[in-house]
Amino acid sequence: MVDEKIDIPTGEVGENLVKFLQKNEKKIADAWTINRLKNSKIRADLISKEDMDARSTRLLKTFTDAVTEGNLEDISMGEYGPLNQLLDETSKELAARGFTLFETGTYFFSLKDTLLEYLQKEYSAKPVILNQVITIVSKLFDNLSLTAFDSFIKGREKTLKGYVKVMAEMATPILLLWKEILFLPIVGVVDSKRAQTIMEEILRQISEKNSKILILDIMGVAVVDSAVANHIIKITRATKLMGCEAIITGISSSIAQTMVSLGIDLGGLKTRSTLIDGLEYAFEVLGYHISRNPGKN
Amino acid sequence: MNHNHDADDVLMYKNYGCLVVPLDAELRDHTLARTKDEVLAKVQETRVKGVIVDFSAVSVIDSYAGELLNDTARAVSLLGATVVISGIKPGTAASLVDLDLYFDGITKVPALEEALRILRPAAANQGETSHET
Repeated sequence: MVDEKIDIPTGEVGENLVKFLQKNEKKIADAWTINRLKNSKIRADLISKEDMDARSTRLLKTFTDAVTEGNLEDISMGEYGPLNQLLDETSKELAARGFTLFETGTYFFSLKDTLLEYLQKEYSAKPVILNQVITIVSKLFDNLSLTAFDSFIKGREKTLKGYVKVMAEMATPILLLWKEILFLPIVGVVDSKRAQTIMEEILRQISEKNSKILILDIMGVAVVDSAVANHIIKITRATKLMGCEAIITGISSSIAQTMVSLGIDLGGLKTRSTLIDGLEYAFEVLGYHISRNPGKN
Repeated sequence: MNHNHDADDVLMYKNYGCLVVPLDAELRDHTLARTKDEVLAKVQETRVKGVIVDFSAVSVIDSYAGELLNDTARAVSLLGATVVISGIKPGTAASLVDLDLYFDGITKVPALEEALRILRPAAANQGETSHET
């Protein structure tokens, strides 16, 4: 067997690859399935085998179409459009279903492994060509995988944003801390819609519980800027109309500095750093005096 | 509370030396204008030391009513009487916030009893003074 030391242009490798793929499409698809299941990282609980097989068949077909032109290097070219699209959709779908990046990567890489296995058999007698083929196909898969991973991350971020939104909208629990003292820890994002909801609920509770003091803790508020401060000030002015004084607690030193630098004017609004201090002030206003029984340590 | 009065009457009464002005559920423009005049006249006439404006019956308030009541309260203060606002309900509070009307400088309490408790000492003093005359 003559060792062919000639550099085979990528186009030719591409053409051979295409013919090879078209001839063996079904076999490769099946082999991919076997490899993939062997890896047992594909979660049958997250997606059915039939669903996954359908995707795999489609991916393989689209991949074959993409390499038909003979371009195995530049995946930004038009012929890779459908494949890039499909990889994007698949990654995002897997991300949304709860696959980890590891599992998703394993899925795509098991195709690469399958393909390379077949190519090794095909070119077993021509090691130099085999070497080139493996290099080219590997690089191609690496590039395609990178875009797939990028899409996966984007899909994951979208899901996370959804969770944040849900959390931010979670019911604000207004607690009756003491007989006339209401307590509300605000957590998360405070936009105008949420501020309105919070205010309505607070006013309702003040009426129901006849409370004189409302302690608003803002330690958990994500961002305290002028807009948020105004929402909070508005709420406190509303409670004042109903005869309930609001105290803001949970002001960290960084929030304090931010508020000063933003020139936020709280008017006569009482503020404290900790809930304890806020409660102490509330008791003072209401005329409570706390003493401890002698003998208790 | 007895609301059997001519629609145009301004209702107010004395209680423990304070002038109590219970606002109607419907805050009609012309009634409110008369309210302002009559309350100020009464305060001047009786030299009462405390005025309570009670919002318990009010559920909705517009900017005209809000501004007018705000002006009334401030004018009464200028006459030397202490004004206390009582009984603002959640819906009214929300409306006032939207109108940016806060009755600044005036004590606001949830109920009439509360207002009386706050103002009684001042009113009692006035009573003593007038007896001495």
